[in-house]
Amino acid sequence: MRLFRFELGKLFRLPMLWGFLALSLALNGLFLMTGIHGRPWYTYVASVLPVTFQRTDDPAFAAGLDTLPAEEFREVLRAQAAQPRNVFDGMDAAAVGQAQAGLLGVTGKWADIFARKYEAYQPVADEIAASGDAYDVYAAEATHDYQVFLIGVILHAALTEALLLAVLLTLYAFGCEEQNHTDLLVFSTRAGRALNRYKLAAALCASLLCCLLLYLLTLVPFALLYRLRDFLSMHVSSSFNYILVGVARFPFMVWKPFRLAGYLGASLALGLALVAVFVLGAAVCGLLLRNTYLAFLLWFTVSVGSLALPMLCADAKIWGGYFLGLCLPVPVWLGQQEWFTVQGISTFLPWQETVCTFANLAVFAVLVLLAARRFRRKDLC
Amino acid sequence: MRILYYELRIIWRLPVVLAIIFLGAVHYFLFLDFEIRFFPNGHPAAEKYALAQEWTKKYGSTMEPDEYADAKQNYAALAAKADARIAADSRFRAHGFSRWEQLRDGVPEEYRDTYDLLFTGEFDFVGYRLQSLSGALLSYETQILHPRVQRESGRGIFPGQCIDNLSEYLCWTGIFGIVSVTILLGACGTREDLCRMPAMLWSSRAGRHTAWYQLAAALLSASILFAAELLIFGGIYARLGTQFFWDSPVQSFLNGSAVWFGLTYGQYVLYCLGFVLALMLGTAGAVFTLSHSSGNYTSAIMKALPLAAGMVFAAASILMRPFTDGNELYRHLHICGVEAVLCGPLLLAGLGIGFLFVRHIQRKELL
Repeated sequence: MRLFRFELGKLFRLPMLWGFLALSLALNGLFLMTGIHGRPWYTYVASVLPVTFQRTDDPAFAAGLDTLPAEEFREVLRAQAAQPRNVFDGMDAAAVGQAQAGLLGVTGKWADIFARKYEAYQPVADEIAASGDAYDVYAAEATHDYQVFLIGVILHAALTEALLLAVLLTLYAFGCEEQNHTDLLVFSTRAGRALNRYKLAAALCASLLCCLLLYLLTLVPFALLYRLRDFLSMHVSSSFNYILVGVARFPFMVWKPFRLAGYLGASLALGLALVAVFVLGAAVCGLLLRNTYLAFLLWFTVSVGSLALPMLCADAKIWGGYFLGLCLPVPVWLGQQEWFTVQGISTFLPWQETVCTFANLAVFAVLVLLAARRFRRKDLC
Repeated sequence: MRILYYELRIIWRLPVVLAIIFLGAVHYFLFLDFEIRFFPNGHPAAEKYALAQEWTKKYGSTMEPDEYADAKQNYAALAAKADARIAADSRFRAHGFSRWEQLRDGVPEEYRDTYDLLFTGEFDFVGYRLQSLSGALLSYETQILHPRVQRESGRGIFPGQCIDNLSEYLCWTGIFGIVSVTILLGACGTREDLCRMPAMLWSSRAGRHTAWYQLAAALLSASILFAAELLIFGGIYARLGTQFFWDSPVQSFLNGSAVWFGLTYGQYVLYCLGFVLALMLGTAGAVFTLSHSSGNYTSAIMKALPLAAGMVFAAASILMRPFTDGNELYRHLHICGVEAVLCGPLLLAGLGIGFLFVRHIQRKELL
C-alpha cells in the first residue's frame, strides 16, 4: 500500500495535471455556452412540466397547457405536441435493418449477422411501444438537439479529456523512473521490478478520479444552466428523439427502456470502463517503450490508425474488418452519442459498445500481463 | 552550421518521422481524399466546371459583352440540338413535348420520369448543360450588364467550386501541418533537459548560443515540413488541373461567393499557402518554448495539446474560404481580410515567444 500511495502522490504532484484539468474545465465552459441560444426553450418546457406532466397522449397535457399564460412558447409547444406519435408502435425492426444495410451496402454472412441484430431488437421495440415511453415530451422538437448537446458535446468533451489524461498519467507513471534516471537502481531489485503493478494501480485510480472530477465539474454547471434535473425522468426513446444515419432519421432505438437519468448513469459508467481500457492500453505502450514520448506517439498512431481501419475496410467491402474495427476502443469512444442504441450501421451486435468495452478490458489486461512479463525478463541496459 | 546540422538530427528522429508519415497517410485518407476523388462533385458541378473551362479557353480569363453575346448564341445552338433530340424521342412526343423551352422550368409530377431523362447519360446530361449555361448567362446579365450595376470587376471566368474545394483541402492540410510540427518538436527541448545537457553546454560561450541554433533548427524543421507537405499534398491536388485557372480573377460572376479582393486564383492559392506556413512557424516557435520549459515528456505533451488544439481551431477559422463572405471569422467580425489580421499576430506571437525564451535562458542562472 505504501508504494501505491507514493506512486499516486507522484501523479497528483504533477503540476501540469492540474493545469490540464483547469484548461479542460475552461474549454467545457466554452462548450456549455454554445448551447445558450436553446436555453429559453429548455427552461420553458422544464417549467411547464409540473402542470402538463410528461406524456403528450395524456389529456392532462393539453389541459395543462390551457391553464398556462398565453405566450409564443406555449403555442409552439402545443403545435409540436398536437399529434402524439408512438414511433415504436408497429415498428418493423427487420425493415429498418434492411434499409440501413442498403445504405451500407453490406453483403454476405455479415449482412445476416447485421439482420440478426434487428431481429433481436423487435421484442424491445414492442416493449417500448406497449409502455408508451415514446409519448414523452422530453424537450419536444428540440429533444434531439438537447440529447446531442448533453451526450455528444458536453459529456463527450469531458470523456475525451479524461481519456487523454488517463493515457498521459499512465505513461508518466511508467516513464518517470527512466526520466529521473532512477530506473537502473529501482529495476535491479525484485521489489523494484514489481513496482509496475503499483504504478498501474495508481494510474488507474488517478485516471478514474480525474474522470469523475471532470464529469462532476462539467455536469453540475450543465444541470444548473439547462434544467437537467427536470428532464431526468424523460424516456430517451421519446418520439421527438432520433439518430441520424447519413441524412436519414431513425428513432432512438435503445436496447433497454431508459429514462434520461438511467441513460446518463449508464453513459458515465461505460465512460469509466473506457478510461480503464485506455489506461491498460497506455500501460502496454509504457512497458514496451521506455521513452514516454515515443510510447505516447505509439499510442496516438495506433489510435488514429484504428479510426481509419473501419473506413478503409468499408471502402474495400471487407465487412468483417469493418465491424471488428468498430469494436476497438477509439471507435467506441467516437460513437458515444449513440451508446446503448442500435446505432445504425456502426454496430453488428446488441449492446456492442458495452460488450466491446469489456472485451477490450480483457484483451488489454492480457496484453499488459504479457508486456509486464517481457519487462521483467529483459536486460536493464 | 555544424551545430545547426546536429540540432536538426536531434529533431528529425526516425520513429517520429515514421509516425508523421503514417499519420499523414491516414489523414489524407480520412480528410483529403474526398476533395480529390469527388471533384467536381457530381452534377451539375461537373457541367459548371466544364463550362468555365470552355469559356476560359475561348474567351480568356474575363468575359466582355461581345463575348457574352457569342455565349448566348452557343446557348441557342445547344438548345436547338436538345430540341431536335427531344422531338425525335417517342417518350417526349407521347407527352406532347418537343422543345427544351417547354421543359426548362420543370414539369408536373406525372412527367417527371420523362423529364429526368434529359439529366442522364443517355442524353449526354444535356439538361444539366443547358441549365448551367443559362444560369451563367443570367448571372452575367444581372451582375455585369444590368443598368443599375454596370461594373468592370466581376467579369472574371472562374468557377466558385474551385475555392470551395481548395479551401477544404488546404484547411485539412494546414491542420495536419500544425499537428506534424507539434509532434516533431514536442519532445526536443525536454529531451535535452532530461539528458542534463544545459549545465555542460552553458559553461562555454559557444554553448550559450546553442539555444539560437535550436530555435533556428525548430523553425527550419517547420519549413521543411511545410515544403514536404506542399510537395506531397500539393502534388496530389495538382492532378485535378485547377491550375488551368491560375490567371483567372476570383471575383467572377460565376462565383457564388463574394470575394473581397481583386486577386487571381494563383495569388489566392499563394496567400492561402502563406497562411499555412505562418501558422506552422508560429506553432513551431510556441512548441519549442513549451518543450524547453518542461521537465518531463508528460508535461511537454500536456502543454502542447492545448496549444495544438488552439492553433487547429485558428487554422480552421482562417483557411476555410478566406477573403470571402463564406469565412466564419468574417461572418462574426465583418472585417474584410480578417484572416490575415489573425494570422499575422499568431505568427509573430509564436516567433516572439521563441525569441524571448532563448534570450531568457541565455541570461538565467544555471543553478
